[in-house]
Amino acid sequence: MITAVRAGFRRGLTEFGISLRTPSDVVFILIGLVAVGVVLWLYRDAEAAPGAPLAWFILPSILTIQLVFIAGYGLGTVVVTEREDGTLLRARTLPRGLPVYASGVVTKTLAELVCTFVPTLAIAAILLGGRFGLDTVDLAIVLAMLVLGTLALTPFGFVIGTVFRNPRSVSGWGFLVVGVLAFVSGLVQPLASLPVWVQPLGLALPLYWIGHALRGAFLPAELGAFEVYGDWQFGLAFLVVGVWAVAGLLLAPRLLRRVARRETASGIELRRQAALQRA
Amino acid sequence: MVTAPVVEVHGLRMRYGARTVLDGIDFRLDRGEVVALLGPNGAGKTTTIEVLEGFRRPDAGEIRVLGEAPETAGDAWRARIGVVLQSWRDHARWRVGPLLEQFATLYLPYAASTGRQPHDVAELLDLVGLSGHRGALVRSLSGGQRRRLDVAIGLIGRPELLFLDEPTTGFDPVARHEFHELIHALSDFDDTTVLLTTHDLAEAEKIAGRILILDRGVIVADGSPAELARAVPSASEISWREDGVRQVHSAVDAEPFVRELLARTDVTVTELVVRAQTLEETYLAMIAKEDAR
Repeated sequence: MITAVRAGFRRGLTEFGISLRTPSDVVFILIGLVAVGVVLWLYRDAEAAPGAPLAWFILPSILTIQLVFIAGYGLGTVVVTEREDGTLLRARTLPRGLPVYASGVVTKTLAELVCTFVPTLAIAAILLGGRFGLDTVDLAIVLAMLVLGTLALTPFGFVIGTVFRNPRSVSGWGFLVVGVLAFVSGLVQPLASLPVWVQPLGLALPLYWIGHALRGAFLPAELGAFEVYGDWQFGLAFLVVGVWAVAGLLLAPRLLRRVARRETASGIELRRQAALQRA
Repeated sequence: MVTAPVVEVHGLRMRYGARTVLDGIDFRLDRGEVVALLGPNGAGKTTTIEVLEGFRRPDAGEIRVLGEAPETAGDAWRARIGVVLQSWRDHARWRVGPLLEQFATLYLPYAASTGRQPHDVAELLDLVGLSGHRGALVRSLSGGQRRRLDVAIGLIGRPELLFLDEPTTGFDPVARHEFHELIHALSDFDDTTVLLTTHDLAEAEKIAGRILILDRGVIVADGSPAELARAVPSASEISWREDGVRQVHSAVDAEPFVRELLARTDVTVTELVVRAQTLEETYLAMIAKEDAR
């Protein structure tokens, strides 16, 4: 298993290297970072409370949306695309091919996350003059939630990639779904200000709680009053996201093995023909 | 030592919905054999290969490949098998060299138990005639080059058993010839067992020691090209020039006729050609016979 993960790690780094040399992939990341810069610039003087820049509310939302975009949407698109082009079937023809493939995809995703979070925080640091309002405990919460959030959302990237069949519908509709999820999870405006019937939806999803914990770290304690429960609930946040992580980690490998088992050359050829007709 | 068969199939049945694709197939492959699986489109060739590769679960039948049931066999078994499927489009953004190197490392943990070290990438590229393309992007390869890369990937782990589904589609005559040499070398020097499907009957005749003909889900013939030719009423074609005039004769048994012809003293026989029935003629006769049933 260790050798498979190591081979997958190398595979993921090669894939990431290919990405960095592919203009469209680089432009995609750059556009995201430019958007981050523009949003933070526009609200540079706004305050969430006296002494607390609005950026401290916006930044947790940005990090959460980036996380779901890269680990959920991006990874799902990769898997559904590589099911169609036969990469997954190829993995089945090789010894330990599937674990190597899966750890390769995860490695590439982690590399993308690092290459997005680091510049994002750098941009924020410049615009905020280095003032993040984080003490040591806050910093630990931010890092821990980013790691746990990655653990929760990465498996769901695989779930998305295995449940859906058509790469174009995943990349198209997926954009919209991520937008809706961000909205009902209180990442655009506070969940407490949304209609009461939306709130349970947001509370059941991991995105609200990832954002909640990050906000709790960045913002002063009294701003917890604007949250659904009127206070910062770090324990509950880590519990909910943790449950999602466990569920995803149990579900994803089973689903991946299942769809890989069902892939056949003739099936891929049929879908290729269908794709050619659509084009 | 009596060697165990590399592939043993008994009563393989497979249906898709109401359509029966394979209707009770039996055959075996022994070590070092090169066997061609022929048949019309839709005869079940690809399905048969996919069952043996462990990609499809058969509805019935007992299947042993390298001593194990393909659908439950593990990674150590997988490491002993090479697979070249009909069409691949994967890893288009990779370069040829790094892709093969990546795949080669996957076989290393099994090299001790199988006794087969993965191929050196440079040697392998040379073997399939892609030595100049090590740094090329996979998507930039032509159809025939891409196919040769697929064959290289199938060979990278030095498999004991190699499945090739229409391997030479898109090959030019030179590449095709080189590929045939490669298959001969594999079976002669590495003792590799090869099962391939093809529509090119001249190719099958050239590289396969044994032919299986699959038609409508059953095996209608199993034997060497010469054995198959004897199984259908057939004739050799004898042509010659008799005092400058071209003559053609068809005979089931060519030898007595030729002997008699050459014994004649009244004429001068030149340009004598005896052409045995080709596999193509045998094949067409067999399929026609099945159609007539």
